[in-house]
Amino acid sequence: MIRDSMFREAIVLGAIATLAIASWSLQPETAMPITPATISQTTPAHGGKAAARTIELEPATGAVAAQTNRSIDRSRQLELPDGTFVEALNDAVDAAPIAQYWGTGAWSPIVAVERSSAGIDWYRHENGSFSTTQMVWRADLGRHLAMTRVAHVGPEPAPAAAATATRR
Amino acid sequence: MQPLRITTVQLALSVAAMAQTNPFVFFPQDPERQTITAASFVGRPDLANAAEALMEIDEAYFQGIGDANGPDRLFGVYHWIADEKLSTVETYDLVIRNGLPTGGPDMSAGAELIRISNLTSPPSPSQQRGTWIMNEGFGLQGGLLVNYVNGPQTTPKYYVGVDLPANPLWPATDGHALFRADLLNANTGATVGENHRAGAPDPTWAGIANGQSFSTPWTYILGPVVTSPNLHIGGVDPTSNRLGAPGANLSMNGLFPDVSNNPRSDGITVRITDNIAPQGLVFLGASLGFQPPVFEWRLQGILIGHSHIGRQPISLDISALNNGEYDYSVALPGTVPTWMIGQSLVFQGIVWDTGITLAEWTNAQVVLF
Repeated sequence: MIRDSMFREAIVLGAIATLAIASWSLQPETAMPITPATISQTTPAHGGKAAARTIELEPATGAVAAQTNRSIDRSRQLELPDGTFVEALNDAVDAAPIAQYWGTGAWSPIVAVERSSAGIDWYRHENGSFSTTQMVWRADLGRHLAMTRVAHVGPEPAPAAAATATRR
Repeated sequence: MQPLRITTVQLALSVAAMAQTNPFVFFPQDPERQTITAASFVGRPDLANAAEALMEIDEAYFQGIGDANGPDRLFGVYHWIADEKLSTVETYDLVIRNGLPTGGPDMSAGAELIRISNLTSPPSPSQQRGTWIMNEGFGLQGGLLVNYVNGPQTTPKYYVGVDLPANPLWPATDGHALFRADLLNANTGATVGENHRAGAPDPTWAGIANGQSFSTPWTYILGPVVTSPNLHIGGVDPTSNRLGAPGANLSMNGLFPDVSNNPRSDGITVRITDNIAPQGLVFLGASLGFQPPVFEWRLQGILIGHSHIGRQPISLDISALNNGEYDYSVALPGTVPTWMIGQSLVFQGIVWDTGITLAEWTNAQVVLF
């Protein structure tokens, strides 16, 4: 029984190795093309112009941006990918640097602060992305903790599937 | 074999976490790097009713997602909001919860590993429909630990999701939905979507509070955010247009390929992605089925995570990531023999960031022939 099992395993492993070698050697250069990233992270914001209650900001060198003195208390600031800081929004404390959640697209500078109808302040970025920080209740930790949130503009949604839910 | 243990390699984890993060998404295409052509629809788990859209993470299929030397450490949730009217802000919760021993999500409050309530979408003046690509972070201090000995997770499955409130306006005039790829047996008329062999189980659930949850025959652009590199297995079916573009289906087709030769004989690829060490060296290996987790103590502080392919896996390739991605062809279409049906192979890799001499195991994933 054990010998049968070992024999079977040896055959399978050998087959994998053979397949891998054969596939590598047979693989044409055009095989398995990977579509380049074209997610529209550089397209304009939804709807273009900012809504009401918008505070236009200077570029990263401006008033709210870079102070690089390491002795400054950064707990109420948000670190940007270039190492500069802006004020954290919505009274967030110890928010994670935005680079952790920015994703694969190129960094886009902050150009404004907008308050949503839900009362949340967001940074608007030059490319139409938004980002924010906010304190949320973490029942698992028993305290409030800051979140760092990034929203990039995505492609046109696929059609809505109104009548296709499947209860089983 | 070393037992799973939580070890403190704060320096290593801190260095890794300071840079970027990686969303672990189970969808036919990589939403960070590929154009999405396989989205069948945007949809909600239970039409206009309140429900949680839940991605099932099953140890039988994936191990070591976000492996932080023992526990899986989740740093947020990645998802795409399809909003039928951008100018009205959408409200939702993020939730990660335990499974029931009998299968499916445990919808009791005690089974919630994390719930973050009343998050809202960004402002917009647009009256049109549109999409927000959301990367929502708990932060380094707020990482959620799951899947470790004596931890809060009690079953071999957990669920990552977005809790949508009821919205009778959806989809006619407003509302929040998710991008999804329908299974072949979803009977939704989808022309693009998943492409698996017959009999594959549903990969997602509609979690219903105070009601009967049910599985849903589609995948979502949705998943946990981790700091370890990700590995997905792709299935290649040249007879199908379900992907909407050339390439490999990185979700159900890779997990459940059809190699029956009747008529399909899918090829198999492996894809590793990493935003943290986008030019890192890659070591790829495989084993026959999952192996007991192995921690390499000699590399403590240098190599994060566990091997799930044993101490001496089949070595397949040494290469490098190219701008965060790496693809490897295991078997071309038409080459997997039918006697492989019933076998299971597990693939796992290591990404080595040579700049800081720190390496991390990817997750391991099985392909079930």
